[in-house]
Amino acid sequence: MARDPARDLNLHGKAWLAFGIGPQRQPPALHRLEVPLSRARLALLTTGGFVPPGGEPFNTGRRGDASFREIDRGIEPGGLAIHHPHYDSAPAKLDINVLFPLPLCKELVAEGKLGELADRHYSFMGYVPLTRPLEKIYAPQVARRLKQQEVDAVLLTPA
Amino acid sequence: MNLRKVAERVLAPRTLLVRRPMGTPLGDPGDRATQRSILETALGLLVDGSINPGAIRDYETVEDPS
Repeated sequence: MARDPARDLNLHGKAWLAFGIGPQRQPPALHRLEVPLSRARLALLTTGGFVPPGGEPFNTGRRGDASFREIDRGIEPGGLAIHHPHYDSAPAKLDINVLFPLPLCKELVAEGKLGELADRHYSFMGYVPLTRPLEKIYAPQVARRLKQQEVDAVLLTPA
Repeated sequence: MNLRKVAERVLAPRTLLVRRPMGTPLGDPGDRATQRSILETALGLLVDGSINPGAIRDYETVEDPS
């Protein structure tokens, strides 16, 4: 049996492995968009640490947090809190479009350049030193939810 | 952090590399023109027939090919 290259990595190394910073992965599948953008359904996914009203804050402590929060399409941008200690969130608090462009995407939909937005969007908090729950539990959960919403594309915006 | 190296390892199906401070990949607060340009350039990769799996494009190059 081939030895798992992640086995010898320390905690820091495993954190990078979650982002592919480790053993090289195979090239990803590239699915062509089957409809024009003007008919496509888009979902947003960020690592900015956004939390909707009433949502559980991300754990910003040393062990990080691999979970995610679901954000309704109709959320008022000012209602989102940001829990992420590892980037300057002040610009995003001033204008959410700098990182999580829900309002901008709504403009594109209104202009007919983009088909529609999914009902629900997703935020992780990018500090995830313990990557196994992310890879085994939370990322697959988000992938399933995106498939259930039959999105055509997902825009990933890292913090 | 060298974001190109990160992108090369992440291997998203398509990546638009934007030279921006962390936390503001789409532009500065209130700079609607830049935000729109970066967003529409990123979405444009979805319909770019020349894209190969794992392609990484520089925003500055795509936005201004000259």
